[in-house]
Amino acid sequence: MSISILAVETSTNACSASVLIYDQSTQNFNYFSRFEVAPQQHTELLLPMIDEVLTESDRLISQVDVLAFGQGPGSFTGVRIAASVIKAIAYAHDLPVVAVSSLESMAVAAYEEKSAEKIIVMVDARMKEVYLSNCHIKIGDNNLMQINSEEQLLAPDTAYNNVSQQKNFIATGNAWNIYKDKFNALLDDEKQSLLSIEYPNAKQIAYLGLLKFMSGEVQDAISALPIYLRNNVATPKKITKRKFL
Amino acid sequence: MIVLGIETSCDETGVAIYDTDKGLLADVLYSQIDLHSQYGGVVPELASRDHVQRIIPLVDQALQQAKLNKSNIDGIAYTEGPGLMGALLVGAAVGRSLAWSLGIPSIGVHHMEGHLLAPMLADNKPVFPFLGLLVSGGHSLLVDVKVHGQYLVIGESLDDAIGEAFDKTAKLLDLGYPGGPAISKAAQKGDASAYQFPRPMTNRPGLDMSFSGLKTFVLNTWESSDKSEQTKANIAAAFQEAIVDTLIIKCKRAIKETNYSRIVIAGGVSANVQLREKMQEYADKNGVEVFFPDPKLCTDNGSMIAYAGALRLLKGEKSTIGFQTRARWSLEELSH
Repeated sequence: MSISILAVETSTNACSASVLIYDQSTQNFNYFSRFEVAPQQHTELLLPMIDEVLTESDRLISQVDVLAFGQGPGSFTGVRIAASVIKAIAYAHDLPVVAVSSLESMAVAAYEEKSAEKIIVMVDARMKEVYLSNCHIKIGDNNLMQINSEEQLLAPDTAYNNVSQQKNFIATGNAWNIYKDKFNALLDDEKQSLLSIEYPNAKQIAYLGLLKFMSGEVQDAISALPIYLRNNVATPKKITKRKFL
Repeated sequence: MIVLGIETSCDETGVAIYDTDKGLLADVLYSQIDLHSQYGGVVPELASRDHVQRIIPLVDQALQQAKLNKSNIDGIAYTEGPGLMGALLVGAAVGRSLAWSLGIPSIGVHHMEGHLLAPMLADNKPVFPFLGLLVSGGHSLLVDVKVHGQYLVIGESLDDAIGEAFDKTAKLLDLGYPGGPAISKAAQKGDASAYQFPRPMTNRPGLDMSFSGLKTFVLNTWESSDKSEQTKANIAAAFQEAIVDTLIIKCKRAIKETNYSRIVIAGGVSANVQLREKMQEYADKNGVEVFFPDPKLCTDNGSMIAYAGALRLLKGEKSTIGFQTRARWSLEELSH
């Protein structure tokens, strides 16, 4: 018995797609993936990438068991591209959807490189804020990861207060470098070390999608949506763009 | 050929189904006016967030209205531009991906071509060639339309679009948003002859237009007035009349220049009742035919995109597997 997942991730300048085929009896993972850092080109790249990974995995889109997408937080436009593409495919073939945290996928990538129970992902959210995710990962009985995480949009100072109370972690995400004057003091090369995972990748989105699918956390074409964390995007009575009719 | 049309270029999520044999089978729309009214204009990020939530339920609703299954659709048309980038991306991503999933062709449609061809969905439809007058919140264009797909812009606004002038004037008079219907409503109680507003750029030759000066004239008139409700209504009426007169003068000139006997008026402002009446009056007197879209197809909608897309899909045009959107896109670029 195998489970096949198609996953996409476009919440940053990187665009990626992956098919994961998981064989439950042998616990074997087989990935077919594409990844490219290509700002502003996601709309041109994503469907061709999906087409390629499906062909390589010898699957038709209708034969996939579940769809997964990186739901953010990240670029608002980016997360909407992934969500819109996956919602449309799900609608066309009545497929279930799992929405996966883009930050959590970076924690999985960090864990794959350096097993550590605690991983702190911190990504620049612009406007002098950061997305912070505290992830705890361990391996369960079935050899699959068990992950707990909490995500917030914070001012760097608040994030600092949060992180400074923690010990023994792997740090990853671009905000550690962007705010290095503030955060370097919390890092050493032993107990709290920085690991460079620059971008989320559909490969880990597929893996997390599998976990969510197996635990029944599925949505559909209508209910699956991006998460933004930043919801205060306009002040009343301020015209930001003229109306096009 | 049955074509699903998707429109998300601004603050309306529109989905429709057009059958090249039977005509329109479904048209569903969600307008975000309430969402944006508290901001006095469209907030692009909020518009995009709303599109992504509404679009799949609307596609589903359109299929139900047409009593069709997904497998009955032969092609998909989506608005490729011009418009708000983030908003366009949602419709394009959904339209293109849906077509890819179903193994059918899709096409990116020029939003203004959609408006321009919308009158062809009416029973009394225009034939080519014709003079097009596109009047909306983002555009004021006079277009020489020889055949389908051949567009020459022969006049345009040098500053504010007409819809924009309506919005700004309504805001100035505190009449609410969107400005077009608000001004028209106030004008009903007003006397247009109470003021003589300028008809911009009509005292010299040419087809270009300008509306920002008129807006300033309104501002000065209002500031030096008694600011009563009646004055407000009078200004609204005089402003509307100035706009309509200006458009008629420009259309007369363009008809003389092109020698065409048909005018097609489309875009959000083509819903304006006074514009329709006065234009009809002019046309009747001068042996010219004038065509408007169905009033509910004046504002943004999926039907015009489905129709414009169907014409192109029938010609064998289709998008590549990757898709694109364009915030700015001249109508003339469609000509070849």
